[in-house]
Amino acid sequence: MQDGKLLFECLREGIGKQPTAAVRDALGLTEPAEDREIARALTEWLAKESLAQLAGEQGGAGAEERGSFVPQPVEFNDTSFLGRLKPRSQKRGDTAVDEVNDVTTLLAVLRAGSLAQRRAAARRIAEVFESVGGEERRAIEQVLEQLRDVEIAPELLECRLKISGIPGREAQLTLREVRQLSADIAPKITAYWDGELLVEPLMALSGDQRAQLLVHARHLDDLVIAHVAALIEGATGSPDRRVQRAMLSAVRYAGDPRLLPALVSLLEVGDGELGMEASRAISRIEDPRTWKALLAAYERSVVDRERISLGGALGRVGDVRAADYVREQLRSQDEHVLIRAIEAMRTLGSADDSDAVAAFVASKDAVIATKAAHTLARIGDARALPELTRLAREAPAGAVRASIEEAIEHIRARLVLRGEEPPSESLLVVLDEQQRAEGTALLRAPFGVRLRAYRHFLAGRLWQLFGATQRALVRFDLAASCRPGWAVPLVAAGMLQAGREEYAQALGLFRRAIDAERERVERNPLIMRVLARCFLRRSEQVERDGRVAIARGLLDEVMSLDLRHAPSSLRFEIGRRHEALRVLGAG
Amino acid sequence: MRPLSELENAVRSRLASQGASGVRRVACHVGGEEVLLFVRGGELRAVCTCSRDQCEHYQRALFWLCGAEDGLEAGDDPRLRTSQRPSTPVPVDHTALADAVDGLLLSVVRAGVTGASSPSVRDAIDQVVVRAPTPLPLGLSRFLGRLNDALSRQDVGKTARVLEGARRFADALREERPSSENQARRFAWLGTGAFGARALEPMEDAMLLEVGRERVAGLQRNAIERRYFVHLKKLEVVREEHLRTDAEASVGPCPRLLHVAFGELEQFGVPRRARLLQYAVAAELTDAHWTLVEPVVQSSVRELRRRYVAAVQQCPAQSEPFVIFAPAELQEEPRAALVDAQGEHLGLPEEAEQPLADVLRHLAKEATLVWVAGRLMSLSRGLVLRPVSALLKRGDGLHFVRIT
Repeated sequence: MQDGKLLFECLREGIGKQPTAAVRDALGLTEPAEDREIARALTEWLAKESLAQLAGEQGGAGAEERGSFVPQPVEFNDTSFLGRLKPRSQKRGDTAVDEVNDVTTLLAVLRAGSLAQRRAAARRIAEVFESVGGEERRAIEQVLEQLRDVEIAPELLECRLKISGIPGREAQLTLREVRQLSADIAPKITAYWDGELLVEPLMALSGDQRAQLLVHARHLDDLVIAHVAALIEGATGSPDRRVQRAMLSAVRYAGDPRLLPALVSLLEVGDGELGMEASRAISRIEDPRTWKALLAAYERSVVDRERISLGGALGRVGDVRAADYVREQLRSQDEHVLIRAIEAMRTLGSADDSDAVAAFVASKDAVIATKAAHTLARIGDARALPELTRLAREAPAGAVRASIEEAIEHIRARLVLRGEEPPSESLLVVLDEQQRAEGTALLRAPFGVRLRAYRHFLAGRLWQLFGATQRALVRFDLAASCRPGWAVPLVAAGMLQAGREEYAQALGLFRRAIDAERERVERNPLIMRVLARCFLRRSEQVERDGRVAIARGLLDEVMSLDLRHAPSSLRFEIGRRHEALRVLGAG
Repeated sequence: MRPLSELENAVRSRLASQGASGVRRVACHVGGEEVLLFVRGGELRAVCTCSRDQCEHYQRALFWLCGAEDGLEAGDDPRLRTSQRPSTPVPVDHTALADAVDGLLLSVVRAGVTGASSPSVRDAIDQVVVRAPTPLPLGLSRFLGRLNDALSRQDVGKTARVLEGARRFADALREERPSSENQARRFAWLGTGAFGARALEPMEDAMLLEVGRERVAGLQRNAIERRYFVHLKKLEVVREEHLRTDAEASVGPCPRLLHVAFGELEQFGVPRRARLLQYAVAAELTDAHWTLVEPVVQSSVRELRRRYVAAVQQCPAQSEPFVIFAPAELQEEPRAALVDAQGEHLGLPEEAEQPLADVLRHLAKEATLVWVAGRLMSLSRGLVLRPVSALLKRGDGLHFVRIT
């Protein structure tokens, strides 16, 4: 009779560990059977037996199967309110955003929390908005009007849809635009796969249209998402890295779980550059598969830039195992490694890293300085405030100063959540500077000159209304000549040119407007939308002509402006193209 | 104008005379359609995407191929794509490969599944790779992937089944005149290196609906990408398989509907491997398309188990049944499982693959789970479904969701 347990042990431990004669007998083999014969008979018997057990609804033969090793996330040991604040309550006693009713706290979390906390806060605000009092509503509206957080753009859109006034109307317009774009593109996608359309329809869109569409991916049809996934995976017959890169950049803030399988497939293929971009998009998707996919890729990675990006992505989902490694990389002499490390510290850095990161805010390289300020904002430690306040006073107006001011606001919000008091004196200095710079230009010119300038400007507006563009432009130019410090006619002329897609001409006018009244231009969302788009389009044009250095220069220029009032999709696309051209420039 | 038969003869003789390293198929774009021309059994055969026999596109393609421009119409801009016959493979020494496979079997049995990292096992795997055709065929690569997985899990039953498949393969390799089953077995393991063209079944005018994609281990991690389709005429699941470095995969998003004008199906392994040679892609699917899948959907765990056992008995190392299962409910405690109407459980992945089960749980909370498609695996705790995709029902209709 065959001895099942003996044979099972035989394959588990190896035939050498069992008495050969007994095994041979159990298998019904005769005396001179060699190991080879025993091995073949043994596997045949065990395979049959395991299937018989399965058919008989019992477990397989390997009842002692070893479980695979399951790693656990390495989390921050932060005992503060923010550290303990969970996005959703999972058990009794959890401190969770979805149970917070205090609007001030929710708004502070919306500004200063982690990505998951900010998302949850935005969702919570949308839930409680109808039930809160007038003053709290106004506070919510004020914050929503100012907040330009592209990472939680879909959640902010839901919030803005609930409020009245300009933000609400803008949100409705955005949603309508997204739905319209999606409806327009769906038949083109069908035609593309049908072979009737040779040009891929998403690549036919401009970068910012693509970004706007995909930032709100959760509102898109399954067909569009499946198409984007196919482009990311390269399932087009001839995968084009340019298309894959463009799609990956566009879906960075999409946060749509439907895209996850395609993104994970890129991580698994092990293509460094595409993998880095994929990791950024994956880490912003709330899904049980996210952490495991990132962890596997991180553990496989060996190239510094990739490993840093993957480490940062892991940090975004709450696993800070890469923190020590990334801290080391802050000493790197390689500009690209350094930038990645500063970026990764946003999700991996703790209060102790403030000083190390703050040192980079004073960098002469505006990109490094801006990224360092953003990182300090996310770390949110008060120790960085004195240095940031000094730099905010000393830095010329523009992108760096804007990011420093933003960082100060973030840190302040975080301090509120920690129950601390922000040092108000230093902030007053910054506010004082801002107020002094604002709106004094109108008083410079004498009354007669101002009147003449207004007359020319109004005449220009009238000509514009009648469609006489050239006459309007002449009048605007005259108005600007009368009062050189007045940006309004220059802006009007610039917008007129931009509307006619004459970006090169519009650029010159916008530059003059910035020289005249920088702050006034930078603080107007309508102007900044057109201005930023104008720079972006012109940069695309010159890049198409092969003048990459000029294209990069244009983006450098627009990125030196305070883009906080430009739409998120535009800022994102400008940043993406700038980064792409920067890498290209470095070879 | 030259008569059609003359043109057909000219094209046939040109295709037939190309020899082993020449052109074996010609695809011609004429008037917005693609005409595929090839020689089979000495006859010129053609398939056009317009689905009609001897259509005007076919005739215009013949004219153009024979250099008779007068047969083309104004606006025609023919484009040609040729499919080269693969270069003659280096002959594989079947006996040496069979010995190497037997050697691997012996090494594993000597070391035991707890000694998986034994140098002798690693060396035996190297010997198999050295004696196998280059590049490593998908069937052989997947066998090594499954063996490594079974050893790392220290799963005696799975190791035994995979090795039993290898034993039968080694025996098939040693046969001088293999039976048709063994010929198909060789083909499933070695692909074209097995010289087994007879093991292929032609697939013409078929409709395939893609229901999932996944990457599985071969000799390397995630080396093989699989796409699973429901063959809507044969009502069976088939798979397309390729190395992740290979650009030969069919194009299109998942899910999609393929109208396959010309393809091939292997005859061994579950699900059967398909080669898609000429097809049209439809990316937009409606709820009506999903109703076509219904005949393939299983709702009994007992039946799934029976089919699984039958498939693995037939070809233990090359069967990885892929099923579409409509559960009566999703059980969460104590272990995540799909439950059928009779109360029988179909396990879901745990430990490292726990996120897949978590996603399914999450989906089941937000919508009605119509079915779950996935690969069946036998683990020590019984039959487990590794979910690859799911069909959900929400207020606005049916939604397909990829999980892997």
